Amino acid sequence: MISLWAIIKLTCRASIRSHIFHLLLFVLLLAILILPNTVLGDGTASGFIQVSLKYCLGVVGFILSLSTIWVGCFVLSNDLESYQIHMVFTKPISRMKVWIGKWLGVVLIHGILLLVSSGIVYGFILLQFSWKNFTKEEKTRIENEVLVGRKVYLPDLPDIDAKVKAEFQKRVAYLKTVQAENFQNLTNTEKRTMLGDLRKQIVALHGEVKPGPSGSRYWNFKGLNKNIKTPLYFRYRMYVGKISSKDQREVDGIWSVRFLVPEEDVKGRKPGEEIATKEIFVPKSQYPEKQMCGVFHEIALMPAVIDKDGTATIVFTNFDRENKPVYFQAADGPKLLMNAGPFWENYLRAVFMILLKLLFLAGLACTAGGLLSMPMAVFVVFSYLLVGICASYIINIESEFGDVHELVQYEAWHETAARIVSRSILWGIIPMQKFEVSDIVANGELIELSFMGRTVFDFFILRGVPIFIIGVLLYRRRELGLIIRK
Amino acid sequence: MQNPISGKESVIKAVGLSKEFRDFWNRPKAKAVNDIDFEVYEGEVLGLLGPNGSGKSTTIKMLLGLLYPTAGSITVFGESPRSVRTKMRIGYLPEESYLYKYLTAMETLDFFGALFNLSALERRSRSEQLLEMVGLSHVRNRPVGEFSKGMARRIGLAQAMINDPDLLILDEPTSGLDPIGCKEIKDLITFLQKRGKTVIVSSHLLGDVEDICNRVLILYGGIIRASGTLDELLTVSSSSRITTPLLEPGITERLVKILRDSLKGEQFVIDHPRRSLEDFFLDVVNKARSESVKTYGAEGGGEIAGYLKEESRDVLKDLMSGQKEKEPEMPRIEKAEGKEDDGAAKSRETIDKLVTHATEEKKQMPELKPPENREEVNKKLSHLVSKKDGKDR
Repeated sequence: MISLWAIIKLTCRASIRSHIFHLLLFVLLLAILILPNTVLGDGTASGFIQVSLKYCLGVVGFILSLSTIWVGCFVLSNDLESYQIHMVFTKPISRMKVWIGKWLGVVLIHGILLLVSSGIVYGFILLQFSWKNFTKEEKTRIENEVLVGRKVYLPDLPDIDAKVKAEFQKRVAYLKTVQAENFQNLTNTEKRTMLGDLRKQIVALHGEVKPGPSGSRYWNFKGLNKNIKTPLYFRYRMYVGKISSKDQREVDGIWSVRFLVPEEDVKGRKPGEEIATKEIFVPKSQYPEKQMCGVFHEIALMPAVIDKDGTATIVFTNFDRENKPVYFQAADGPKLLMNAGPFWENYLRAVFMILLKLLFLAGLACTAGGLLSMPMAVFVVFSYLLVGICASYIINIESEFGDVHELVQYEAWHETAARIVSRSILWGIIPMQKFEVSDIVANGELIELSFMGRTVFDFFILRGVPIFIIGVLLYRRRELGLIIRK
Repeated sequence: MQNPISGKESVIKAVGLSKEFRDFWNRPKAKAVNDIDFEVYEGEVLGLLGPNGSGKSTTIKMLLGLLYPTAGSITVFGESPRSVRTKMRIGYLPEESYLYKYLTAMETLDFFGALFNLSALERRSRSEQLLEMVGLSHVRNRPVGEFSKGMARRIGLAQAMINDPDLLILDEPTSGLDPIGCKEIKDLITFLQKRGKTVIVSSHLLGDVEDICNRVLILYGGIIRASGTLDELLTVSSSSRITTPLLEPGITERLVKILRDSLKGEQFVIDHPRRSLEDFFLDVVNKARSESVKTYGAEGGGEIAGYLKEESRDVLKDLMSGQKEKEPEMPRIEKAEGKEDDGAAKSRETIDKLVTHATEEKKQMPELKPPENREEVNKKLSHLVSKKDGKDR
C-alpha cells in the first residue's frame, strides 16, 4: 500500500506540473466563476436556473474530461519517454501497481476538482435562487420543476416493428397477386428501401395529431405510484408542420385527462363493493389554448388522474387555425414526472455520473499512454471518443430502422460484412453521451439508480474494465528499454 | 551455484545471453549482445568495460528486466530479473539521473524508499543519513531539477542505496563527478565489497575500474573479448618492479652496477615515484575545507549512512587506515622488458618468490577478520533492517 500511495501522490504532483493542466484548470475556474454570471436563460426564472445548471455542470464535465484525457496520457507516456520509469521499475513494485497507481492518481486529482467545482456550481444555483428577485410563483415553479428529482414515466408505445412487418407483408402480398411482374423486378435494395420508408411513415403517423376532435391523440402512462400526494407534471414539446426548431408558431389545442367516475349513485353501497365506473375526459380549459411549438412545456396535474390500476391517460386535441397537423417526437416523450427525491440527492447522482465518466476516461488514457507516445496516445483516445459519438449516431439510425432481421434477408454480402464490423465496433466502443446527465438534472428529472447501475455495468464493467485489463497486460509486457529517450 | 574457487554463491548467471534489436517490421536491426555467458559471485566488484555500442548498457538493462533476452537466459539471485522479489535486493544508478525533477532531494529519496514499502519513519531516517553521506544534506529541500550533474549523480547514488542492496549496479558512477566525488564513490564501493555486497560497475574511466574492481568483462560487438581478475589480465610477468624507501646515493650506485652487470645491456629505469593528481587534488581540497571555505555545490560526503554500517565497527575507517598503510611513498625501480639470461632468471625467481609471498600475505589480509564474524555482523545488520521493514509493513 505504501508503494501504491507513493505512485498516486507522484501522479498528482506530475499532473499539477503539466502546463496543459494549468490551462484547463484556468478555463475551469473561468467557467465556474464567469459562466454562471453571464447566463441569460430563456427569459423565465425557471429557464434561467435550468440553463445555468445545464451549462455549468456540462462545462465542468467537459473540461474535466479533456484534462483527464491529457493528464492520463501524459503521466504514463512522459515517464516512459523520459526514462524516469526505469528508476521506478528497478524497484520492487509491479507494473500493474504502477498502472493502477497512475490511474488512481489521475482520478483522485480530477475527482477533487470535480467535487470543488460542482460544489461551487451547486452553491451558485442555490444562491441565485435565493438572491434573485423571483416571484413566489416562479420560486414554486423552480422548486417543482428544476430543483427536484422527478421520476420519469414514458407512455406506452405501440409495437412499431410488428406494425412495419404487418404492413410490409400486406404490400408484398398485394404486389405478388396484383403486380406479380413488378414484384419479381424488385431488387433487394428496393425492398430494403421500402421497409425503411414504411417504418419512417409508421413512426411519423404515430406521433402525428391531425386537426379536429377526430384526430385526438391519447397517451397512456402505466405503473404509476397511486399513493402520491404531490402534483404530477406532464412534459411535452410539439412541432407544427414539420419536426424542426425553425418556423414554429403557436397552435391552438386542448389538453384533457381521463378520470374514472362511478356509473351510478354510490350512496347506500357497502364498503368494498365493486362499483362500475365510466371514464370521462376533463379538459384543462374549456376553450383551445395557444401553445408555442418547438419548446418544452409542463402541465401540473392532480394525483387523482391516476386510477386504481396506476394508469393515467392524457389526450391532446389539435384545433390549429391553419388546419395543420402537429407532431410529437418519441425522444421528447411526452413524459409524466413524479416527485421522487430532493435536488441535492439528484445533483449528487449527476456528480457521480461525471466521476464515472472520468474514471473511464482516465483508464482509457492510461491504457493509451502506457503503450504509445504522448501525441499518439491523445490521438487514439480522441479517435475512440469520436467513433463513440458516431457509434451513437449509428445506433440511432439502427433503432430508427427497427428490427434488423427484417432487413438482413435483403442485404448483399458486403452489406452483411459492413453490418457485422460496425456492430462489433459498436459493442467495443462506449458512447460518451451515455454519461451526459446535466440535461436530465436541469430538467428536474431523477437520475435513477437503475440507470446508474446499468451504466456502471454496461459501460464501465463490461466494456471499460476489459480495455483496462488489456492496457495493463500490454504495459506489463512492454520492453521499456526499447523506448527511445526524448 | 557456487564459485568453485572462492566458494561464493552466484548472484548473476547469464547463459547464451543474446539481444537482437528489430525494426518496426520485425526485421533484425542490430545484435547488441551475442551469445554471452558469465557469472557474478557474491562479494565481487565486476567491471563491465567496452567502447560505445559494445553491449554494456543492453546487458545491464537485461539484468534489470528493462529488456528481455532474444535468446539464452539470465537470472539474478536465482530468479528472473523481472521478479519483484529480485528487485528488493538491487540498487541501480543509471548512466544519467532519470529523476523526477520537481521532487526535492528529500522527497526523491522518500519516494524511492516508499517503493520498498519502508515506513515513513524509516524512510526519513535513511534519507537523512544518505543525504549526509552524499554531501547533499544542505540542499535537501531543493528540487533535483536544479542540481548540477554531479549533484544529480550523488542523489542518484543515494536512491540506489536506500534499500541497502545486495547487488548494486552502477552505470558510469563517476561520470560528472569531481575528484572528491569519484573518490567517495570508489571508497563506498570498496566499503560495500567489504560488507560482502556485489557491485557491477560499467564505466569508460578505466582508471576508476582498475582502482575498485576485482574482475572485469570486456565487451566488444556484443561478445565478451576478455574476462578475468585484474591480476590475471594486467600483470606483466616478463618485467619486475622493486619499491624501496629512499635509497642513499651509494646504495643506488651499487644497485645500478649490479643491475648493469646482471642485465647485460638491457635497459632499466630508476626514478622517484609520483603522486597521482587525484591524491594531490584531494589534499588541496581537504586543506581548503579545513580552512572553512564556503561552497554552494555538493559538499564532501559525510560518513557512510548508519544503516549501511556494521554495528561493531566502521569498516570504512579500517579500510581508509589500511589504505594509508599500504601506500608508503617509496622510490621505484623499473626494469624494461628484455631477454632473460640465467642470472636474470635467478633474480626473477627470487623476485617472484617475494611477490608470491607478498600476494599470499595480501590474500590473508581479509582473514585478519574471520569471514564468519563478518558474515555474522552482516546477518545481524540485515536482520535489523528486515526487522524494521517487517514492522512497518
